[in-house]
Amino acid sequence: MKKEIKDELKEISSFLSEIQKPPVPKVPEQYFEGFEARMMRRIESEKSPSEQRSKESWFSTIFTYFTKPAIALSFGVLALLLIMTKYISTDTATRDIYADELAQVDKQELLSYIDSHIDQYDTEILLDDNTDLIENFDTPYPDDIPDTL
Amino acid sequence: MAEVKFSEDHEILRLLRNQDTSDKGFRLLMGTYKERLYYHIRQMVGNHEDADDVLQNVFIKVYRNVQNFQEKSSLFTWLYRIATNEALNFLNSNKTKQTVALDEVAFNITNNGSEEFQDENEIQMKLLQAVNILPDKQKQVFNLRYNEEMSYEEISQILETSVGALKASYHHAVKKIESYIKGTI
Repeated sequence: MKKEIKDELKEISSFLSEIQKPPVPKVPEQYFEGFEARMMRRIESEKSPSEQRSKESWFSTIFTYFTKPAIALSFGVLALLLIMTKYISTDTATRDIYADELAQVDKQELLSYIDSHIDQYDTEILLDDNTDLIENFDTPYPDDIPDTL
Repeated sequence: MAEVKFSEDHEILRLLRNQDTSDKGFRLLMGTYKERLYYHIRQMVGNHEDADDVLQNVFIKVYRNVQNFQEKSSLFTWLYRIATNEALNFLNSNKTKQTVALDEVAFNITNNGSEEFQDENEIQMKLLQAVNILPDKQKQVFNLRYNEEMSYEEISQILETSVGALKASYHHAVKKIESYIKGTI
């Protein structure tokens, strides 16, 4: 017994300080030797399924999901939608670039191009879809119209 | 019982707080404290089977909550506090077992030596009986001071009681034990 504690006990009860301390209780053989291993087994066995899953790799978890047909099909549809969205947005962007470039072309240049390639245009298209362009055509003077017409 | 160095506690906590080494840290924690905690619990519950059950429950709780340990007290104090609470909860839910526990300890003492030690053995048995009938608080203080030889500061942190109150409890416990033994021999 520590001296400090022995002295204190003697001061309170000299009778008790003379009594030998009871022996340390007996423990089954090998009890302490295998204790840690037993505890770790118990802890593992008591872990909830979600705790056990968290220790698995993320790849194996994702792979497990893809083995389910419904999830795989859903993912496929989603991927297809994403690809289509990307294609459409690219097409729109391309068209925007063409519109910008067209806007920079000089009006006279444009009209001379149409004049020289007029045979390539369908009249209906020129009338319906390019009304703003047609409106920009200078109205011919009556003098320019041949009398024969 | 050997003192546990602060550096050892520090190493245990460092390992426990890293997910990759937490199991290693927990094994080190058990290896360092299992015997001290076992005997502390055994003194309270009295027999090996119950002490083993309580000790395992203590370590399960420690494993699940060690991430919440904020080092406001030492690891040693925290573990003793959990062990003390678990043992008290066990005793409260198994009140009738306390008599059986004392019988087992008494059996160990009376079969411990030859005739020349019988008087000493009898006194030791009386001492255990006297401790067993002490109020819970006095019993805890007496066991931690007399059997586990802890300082009042350590006991104060474990039982969350002032040093002055602990000294008074220990004094009363010793006087009651002395009176019980003298009155029964």
